[in-house]
Amino acid sequence: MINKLIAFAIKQRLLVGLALVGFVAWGIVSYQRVPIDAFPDVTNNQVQILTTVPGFSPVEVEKQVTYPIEIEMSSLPNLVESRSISQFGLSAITLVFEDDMDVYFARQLVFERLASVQEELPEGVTPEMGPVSTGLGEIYQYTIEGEDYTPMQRRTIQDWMIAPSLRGVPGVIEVNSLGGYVKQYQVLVNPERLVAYEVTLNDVFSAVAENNANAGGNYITRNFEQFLVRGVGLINDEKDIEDIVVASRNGTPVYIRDVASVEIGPAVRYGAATKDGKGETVIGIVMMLKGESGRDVVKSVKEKLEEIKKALPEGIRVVPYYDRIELVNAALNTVTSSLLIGGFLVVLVLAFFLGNLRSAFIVALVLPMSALISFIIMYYTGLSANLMSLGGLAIGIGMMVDGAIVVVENVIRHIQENQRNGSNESIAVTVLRAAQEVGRPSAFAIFVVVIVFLPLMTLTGLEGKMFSPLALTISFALFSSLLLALTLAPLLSTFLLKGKISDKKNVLVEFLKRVYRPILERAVDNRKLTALLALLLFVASLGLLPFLGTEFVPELEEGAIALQAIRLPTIALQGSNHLSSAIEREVLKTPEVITIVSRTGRAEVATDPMQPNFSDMYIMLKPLSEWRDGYGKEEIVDELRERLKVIPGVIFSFSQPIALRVEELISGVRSQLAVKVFGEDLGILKKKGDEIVSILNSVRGARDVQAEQVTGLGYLQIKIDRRKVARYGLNVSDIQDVVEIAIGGKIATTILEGDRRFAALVRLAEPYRKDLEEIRSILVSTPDGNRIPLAQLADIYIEQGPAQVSREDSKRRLTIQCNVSGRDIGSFVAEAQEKIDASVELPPGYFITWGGQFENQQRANRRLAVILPITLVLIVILLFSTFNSMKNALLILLNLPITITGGIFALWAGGLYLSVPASVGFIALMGTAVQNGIVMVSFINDMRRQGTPLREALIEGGLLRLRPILMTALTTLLGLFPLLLSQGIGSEVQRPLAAVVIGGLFSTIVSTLLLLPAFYGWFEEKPASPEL
Amino acid sequence: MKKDRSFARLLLVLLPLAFLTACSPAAESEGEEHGEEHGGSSSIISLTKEQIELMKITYAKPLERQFTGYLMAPARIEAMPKKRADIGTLISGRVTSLYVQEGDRVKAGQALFEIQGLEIGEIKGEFIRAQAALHSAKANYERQQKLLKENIAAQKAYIDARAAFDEARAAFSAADQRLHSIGISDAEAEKLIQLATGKTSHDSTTPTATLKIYAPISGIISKFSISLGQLIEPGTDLMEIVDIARVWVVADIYEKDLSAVKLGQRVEVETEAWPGEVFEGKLEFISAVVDEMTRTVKVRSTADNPEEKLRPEMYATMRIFHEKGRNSVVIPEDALQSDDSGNFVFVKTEEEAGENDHAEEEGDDHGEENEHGERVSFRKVPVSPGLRQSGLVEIVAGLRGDEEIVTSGAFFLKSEMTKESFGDHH
Repeated sequence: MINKLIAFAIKQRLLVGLALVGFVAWGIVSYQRVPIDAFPDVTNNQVQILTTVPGFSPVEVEKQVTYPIEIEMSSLPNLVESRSISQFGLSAITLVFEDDMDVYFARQLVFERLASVQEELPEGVTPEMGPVSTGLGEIYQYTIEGEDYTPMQRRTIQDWMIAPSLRGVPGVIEVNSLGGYVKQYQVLVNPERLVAYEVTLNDVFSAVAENNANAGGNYITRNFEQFLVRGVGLINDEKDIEDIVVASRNGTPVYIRDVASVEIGPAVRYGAATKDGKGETVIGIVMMLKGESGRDVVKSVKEKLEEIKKALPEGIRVVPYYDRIELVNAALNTVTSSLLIGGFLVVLVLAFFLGNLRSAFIVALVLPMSALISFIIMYYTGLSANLMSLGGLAIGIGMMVDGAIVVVENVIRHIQENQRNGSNESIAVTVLRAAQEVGRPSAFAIFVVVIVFLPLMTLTGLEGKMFSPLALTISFALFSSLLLALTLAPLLSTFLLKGKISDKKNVLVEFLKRVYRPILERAVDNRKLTALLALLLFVASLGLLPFLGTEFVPELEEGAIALQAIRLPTIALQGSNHLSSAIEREVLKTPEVITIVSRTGRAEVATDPMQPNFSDMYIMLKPLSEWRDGYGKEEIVDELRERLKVIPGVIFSFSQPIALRVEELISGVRSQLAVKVFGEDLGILKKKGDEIVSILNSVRGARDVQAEQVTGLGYLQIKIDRRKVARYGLNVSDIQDVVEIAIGGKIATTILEGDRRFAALVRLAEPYRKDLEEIRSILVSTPDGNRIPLAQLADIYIEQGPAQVSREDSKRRLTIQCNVSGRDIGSFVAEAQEKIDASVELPPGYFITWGGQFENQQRANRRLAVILPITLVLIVILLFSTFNSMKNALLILLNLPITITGGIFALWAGGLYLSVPASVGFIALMGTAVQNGIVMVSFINDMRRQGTPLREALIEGGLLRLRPILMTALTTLLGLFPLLLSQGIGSEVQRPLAAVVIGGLFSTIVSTLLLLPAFYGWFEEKPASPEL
Repeated sequence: MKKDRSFARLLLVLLPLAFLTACSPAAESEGEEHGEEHGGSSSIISLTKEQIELMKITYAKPLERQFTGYLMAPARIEAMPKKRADIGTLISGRVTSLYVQEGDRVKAGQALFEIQGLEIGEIKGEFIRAQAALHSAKANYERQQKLLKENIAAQKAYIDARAAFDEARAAFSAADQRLHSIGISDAEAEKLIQLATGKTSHDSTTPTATLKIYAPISGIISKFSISLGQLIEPGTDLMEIVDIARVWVVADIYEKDLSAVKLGQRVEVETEAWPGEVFEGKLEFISAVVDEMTRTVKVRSTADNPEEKLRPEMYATMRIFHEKGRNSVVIPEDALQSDDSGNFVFVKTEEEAGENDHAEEEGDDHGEENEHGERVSFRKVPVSPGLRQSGLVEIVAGLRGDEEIVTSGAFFLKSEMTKESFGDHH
């Protein structure tokens, strides 16, 4: 098949040429359409159900909203995990589905279930699904500024002018608002006047609710004209509300204005935003639809904003503080510059080794073309272009040219031979022969590399989402390069290599051969010593392993800092803002900081259920070049950490905007280890949690042990006394109404101002509900027309209660987080488990599970432990099918240990950690090592079959294979060099990989060129195997 | 054999590698900065001067002041019953003159209006007749008495005259009573007497069938439902005069508060009409019964109302000071903090923070102490709060009064102290 393909390419040059041009065009189109973002999206497949229940306490929310929904959802198909947080006024349920489930289908299922659970929920409570977005979703964030406008005006502009327009931008799923005040019409009732006019709060409420409507009266006909009949009764302003009649007393109407004042005021809010220590601001957060191209969406958003700006009131400015495009460009820049430099280096190598610029050109052409063809596949498989997937291309550069090199090199060799022999063979025939000769082995070599990348594609979870795109693009690129090596390379060769090819000995190669020969001879002659040395090196490298630091995945640099500030749970929003401003002022003292914006509490769409004691602060930094000398990100974070010591009573946690968001979405557990205690009673959970905290602290290696804050929120409890209530002929609901309307305020109707909608709220005026005493004396009307103070119907007191209720898989859960340092996490867990089993007694129905990133590691660990041997077996099978010799196959496998040795040394020398990308590097190395081994061993095999004596075959084989092996290794190596040296955004995740491959390649070269020939004798099949 | 061994060797090489790379512990989650050892729940915390300045933490000695507790109750203003008069007539008639109108300020005895009616004429005529009869009976009696003294007349005639005189006197007294009972003043009655005795002649200025109604008390005409020519039936309230120079303030207190109130307690009244103005008084009445419908007890005080700012039926709030003023340690409400363990304040102390205290630990670790100079330490002192009013809290126990306590920013100290216990929201 391969031979036919080559033959076809040469015979139908025009057709194939056109097809290739077509592919290029297609590739360019695909490139433009592939979604582009900075990072791969590692968020799991989830649907959020957000229910706002104004005024409900966490436990009420859990009981009345979270629980019924959770139960309904628990039987959804393909549901992996269900967890929830019930907070003051909000229920947030996260349903995680299998990754391969279509998110819209999942949402549809959820929607159906929501419809059936609706009637079990409190009246007026409607659950909504969170936007179809991911951890990468918050692509553009801005503040609305304008000195002449109040926060309420600015919020109104955001809510009613900017956000609606931006929502229409393709790819934008939601525009979230935070900060300022939402405008509201407030009917603030004076209870004393209620008494005086003998009306009740409920009367006022229903009066407002019922006096705001337009009616349609169809039309009337007069002569031949028709007139529409319209009853106009909508409330237009405060005055209209004031004029509503509540009741009539002795013929005198009682107006709203008699019993209440009507004002425009701020709605109760659960979140706020502050900026640069200058106080409150209003922010907008543009969220992108899952799977969209971040770069393009931001671009459209910016265009739209330019349009909107013209219509904005004078003096209003939209100031972006977070713009994903900067990060996307930086990340793309890192990868593309690596690609370009790498490509250039590769071409340089080719020119040197082949000594022929035309052939170098042919090979070099393969690079951009296979990249373009990869984009076609990426586009159709729905892979997005990002740091990791494009990183795959960058890593693959060296390998992508291998196939073409082999073909072109062989063509040149044959042409030179022809020239030497004076053969008149036509160029087409020569190329065909040469290409077919190496076609199979080239294809085979590519298959080997793809096979070693297979295990990466089976990784799941976060590591899978990060590294399988990389493996996929490498595979795509390699297959494309193979296709091109078999079509483009021979095709172009027939044109470009037509003339006379210089047969001059390549100076560089000759020099290397002169150096190589004596060493090779010695290695072959003293193979036991060689083996011993190799073994020693290998053992030495293994000895280095314990000295290597380890990490899971290096954090992707985002060029910005996300700072989380956590305060005491009882803090009011106002207090949080005060602290935020102080923190902002401290942070701004660091010269690298451009701006800092704090998001406190939760936004309008509560995709991140934070309480007012939590702030996410976005710290934007100047470009790297403007930083003080010697300052890196780490130094800046350290400096900020030091500065913030001065702020008392706040816990800080540094992260990065995307990382923070992703963490919040994925698991909600940030530490390595999470002990989850499940059970019913919050008090017991807290008690057991505290016990576990102290036990964990007693285990060596425990750090940052902390239990989830479930209590500590201040409650003013109004505990209704049923007997007293009954005595006055009241229902409990009558009193609840009073609590709801009088204290909390209740929306009676919606007032339209053009297309803007504002709520009209009925509530007691502030002085009558601001304190315990006032609340105690709120009057409740009895059916007899009497008024009884609340205190006489209920016990009213202040106490501390649950701050939030977390649930997982429909059970209440308390999480204790813990990091481990200085020891192996496995043994830590074992010890901690033993201690906890021994000393924590759990009541029936309570149990403990262990999770955290530790889960991820164990999962990846288990996965790799299964997949790696399978890969090895696959390689062996491949090798066996090639050589038909188990011995040869094993000989080639011997290449691996020494290869790994180089990788380990490189990590050690570079001060890098052993991590998932490093292990990806090792996997890539395996491919290259096997590739090289095949080339060497098959060549020696061929010579042996031709009857060459063993030693001569080894030496000559080695010398002849020196050029291709060095060339393929060097191209790969130099192709990766820019990744190793790059300091750009995202380089940190590629660096360990590049280091491992580069280090490993050095040792592979040595191993392939010296060890394989040396050990060949031990592994040679004695009876010559029949030809394949 | 060889094969197997090399393969096994290979696996030996690769598996640990796979294991190591896979199970490498996660990157340190960035910046989780709560490395303090748990359990450092010392009750002393120290901050640097810089921190104190930044968070605007202030400390001062508590106030010493009179602190009185009060009870708030909704109240309303009522006119005092003695200072309020309903004006009507006991006799029917037609209104002939009106001397006043609504809102007029009247003096006691001032004429309000005049009515004319048959009955009035009859009563007056009867009076005049009775007066005349009395007059003549008296003259006859006196004459008979004189005659008797001089033994001129018969005893019987004297007795008869005396009986007639007594009779006339009784008739006059009855007529006089009637006359007065319909509201005719003494002066007018005198006039009638003079008329009857012929001392003045009968002229047009003294209509006999009219009746003037006079104000019984001084005050303001607060109700008015009378018009000229109106035919009035007895028993109809035509006007109301109130005197609100002093008014009652009546409040309803709830059963639960009954034990706190006593007669004579000082009372402050505030109204919506006169915000900020306080009308003082004393509790002078506590109802003996509980209203069975409203479950409240009526209490009352009197307020001087010289400017007549308080009007009857006005709503007001009554503060009843139920506890005697006493000298107490008083702190701002912001200074009082609470947690699971109860209420506490932060008191400045010279003690050094304990070993376990994390703030100190931070200082040690980073040499902050040298950089930022001295620290100020505060001790968490449990206290029992007493009464609260207008942003101040009385401290019943726990403070001597001469300590320096944190008056603002105490919340931040509390936060710093309990920092380890709060954390992730997930």
